[in-house]
Amino acid sequence: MPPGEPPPDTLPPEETLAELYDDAPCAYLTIDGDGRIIRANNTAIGWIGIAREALIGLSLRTIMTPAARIFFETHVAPLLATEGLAQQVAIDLKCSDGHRMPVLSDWRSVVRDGRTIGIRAMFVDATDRRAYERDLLAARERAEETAARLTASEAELRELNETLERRVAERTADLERAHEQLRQSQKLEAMGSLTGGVAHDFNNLLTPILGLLDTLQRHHISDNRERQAIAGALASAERAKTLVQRLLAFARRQPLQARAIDVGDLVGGMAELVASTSGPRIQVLVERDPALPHALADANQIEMAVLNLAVNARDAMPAGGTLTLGVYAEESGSGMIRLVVADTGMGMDRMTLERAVEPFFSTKGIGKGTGLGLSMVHGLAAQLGGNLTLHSEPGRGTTVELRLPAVDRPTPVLPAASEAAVRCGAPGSALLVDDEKLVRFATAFMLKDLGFTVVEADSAEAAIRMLEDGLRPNIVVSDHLMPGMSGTELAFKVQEWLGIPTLIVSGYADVEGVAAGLPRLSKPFRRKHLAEALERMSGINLAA
Amino acid sequence: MFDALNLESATFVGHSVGAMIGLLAAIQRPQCLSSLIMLCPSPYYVDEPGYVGGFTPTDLEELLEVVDSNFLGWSRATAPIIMGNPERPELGQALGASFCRTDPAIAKRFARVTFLSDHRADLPLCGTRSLVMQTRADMIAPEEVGAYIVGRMPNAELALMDATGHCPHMSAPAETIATIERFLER
Repeated sequence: MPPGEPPPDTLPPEETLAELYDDAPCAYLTIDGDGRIIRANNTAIGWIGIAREALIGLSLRTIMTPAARIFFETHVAPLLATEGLAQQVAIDLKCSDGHRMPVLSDWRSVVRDGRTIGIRAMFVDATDRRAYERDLLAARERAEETAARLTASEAELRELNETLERRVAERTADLERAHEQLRQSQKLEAMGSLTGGVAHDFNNLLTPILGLLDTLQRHHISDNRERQAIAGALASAERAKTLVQRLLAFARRQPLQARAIDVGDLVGGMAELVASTSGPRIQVLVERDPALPHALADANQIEMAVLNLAVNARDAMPAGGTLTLGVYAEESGSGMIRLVVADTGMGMDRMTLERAVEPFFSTKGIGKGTGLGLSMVHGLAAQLGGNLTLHSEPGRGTTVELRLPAVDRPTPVLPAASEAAVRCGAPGSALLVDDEKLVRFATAFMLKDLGFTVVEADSAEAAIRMLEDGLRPNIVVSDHLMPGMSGTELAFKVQEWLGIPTLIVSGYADVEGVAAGLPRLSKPFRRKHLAEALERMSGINLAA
Repeated sequence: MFDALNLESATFVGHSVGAMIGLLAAIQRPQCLSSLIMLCPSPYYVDEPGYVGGFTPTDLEELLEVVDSNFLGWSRATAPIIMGNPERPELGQALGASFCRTDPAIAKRFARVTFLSDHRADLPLCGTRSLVMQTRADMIAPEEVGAYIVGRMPNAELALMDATGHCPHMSAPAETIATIERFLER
């Protein structure tokens, strides 16, 4: 090896400045006091893409993007002036082919005698770095957005939770209201049962009282005081009967004669009566739908209901107002017609409205009304297969709606079951069937008073035995509800077997129990009721 | 602010955009100002035929795009200067952490307002005695702009400084003060 030459594959001991500067891995620029480039290394020239001769003398701004120019002036130049250096400045250079090169730059002032005479700059390619930073920043922004969305979602969820609790509370309140309504109707149902049972018993007790007093009264009692005593007792018994009837109505157990009637005509016919009951200060309006189907109802009971409601309406309008009676065809599909009694009176608050249908509940004060009116109408509606609804607003008025099942055409009136048995002349003999001894005694008394000879049986079975033994009465009078065979069953048997008509006496008006069309008499009854019923049934004249 | 401070015959010193704000205020309240000092001002930054603003329309597009995409420049090291308090470096640190990237919303707004505002027509309306201080090699407001302003204002004179760059009050404070004082003394 020649002496003085470095061994091959080793760095020479001396590196020239040019070697170190020119091909350094970063770009070097020197800028003079006027901002012009006066020196650049090969790397700088390669990146910028302008030949050395052209680059030297160009102002620095030429190789800087507009953003870099602004940033340099606002951030780098002030730092250079005060600190003499600016480090790690990220800017973009503008290359001759137009593309932007992201660099990381370091700047140093060149100072002589306290004056800055130039700047030396170093640039490092930051393309990868910048891309990475941008990704990071974008990811951070996305994370912030997601966090914001999450916060918003949490807020939403919280609100949902809070409203959920409120909604649950509302639902629970609804449920409780529904429960309460159920309890109310169950209560009414129970009261109805109880009332029905009590009323039935009362009717049985009243039958002998009323019947016997009535019969006694017809006997000519000479003593005035005794006559008055009987009259008083009778009047009281009558009032008791009426009360029991109303209770039965509430209990939906009153005897009904449901037929297809034109409720519109019925209500129309009551207009005058209602007007005179209401007085001059109340204007009575009557309306009806032109095409109104018939409804299945008991005409008498409907009239009583309308009167009851009209009286309530009148009492709600002490200073006058308008009372509307309307009958309308209901919305299609419901199969009902609607009878409306509406007033413009004082109305009811919610608590009153809830209790209005309860029997004996009244806001009218002692002595004014029994508190049974609405409960009766309610019972009537239910018994007829309809319903009763009340709407009221304090100060605005009340509307009572009675819905009744519509029927296609009037039901034919069933012929009297015993037209074949028209008789004339003496009343004849009667077979009286009733398991209640006292009632049987009273009825027998009244029959005898009417001229019948009476044979008594304490059950339908006993009666049949008597008939089998050859007894042939002219008529049979039988209670309906008896242990064992019912009066109705007996009636059919006797009619079929012997052609003898039976008058059914019923206190407990079980509509399914007593077949429609059988001659019927309701307990308690007076002599004249018995007489009329027997006349109707058999054509005999009992007018004595 | 003039009203709030109850100024009369005050001297207003504004730098860059601040100088233009001073100009507009002087037009509105001429009685409040006796002198208007404008340091590196520019009424409009975009080149037009017959006018050198310093930025080509393409430059402007690029600038606004860059600002929109959030990148003017980034240097943690510049924070101490902006705080203006080299004795309290920790303040600079704190600011650096939040400032090392220009706040995007503010940068966008500022860039748009600054670079799209054209106040050349307002120049003749300002009668206040004014000084336009122009530096050399200002990458934001080129020398042509100083001459343009003085040419259009009725009562303005130009002071061409030795200092370079856009912030002579930071890079050459002594020369800046001296130039202002000379003007005010006359």
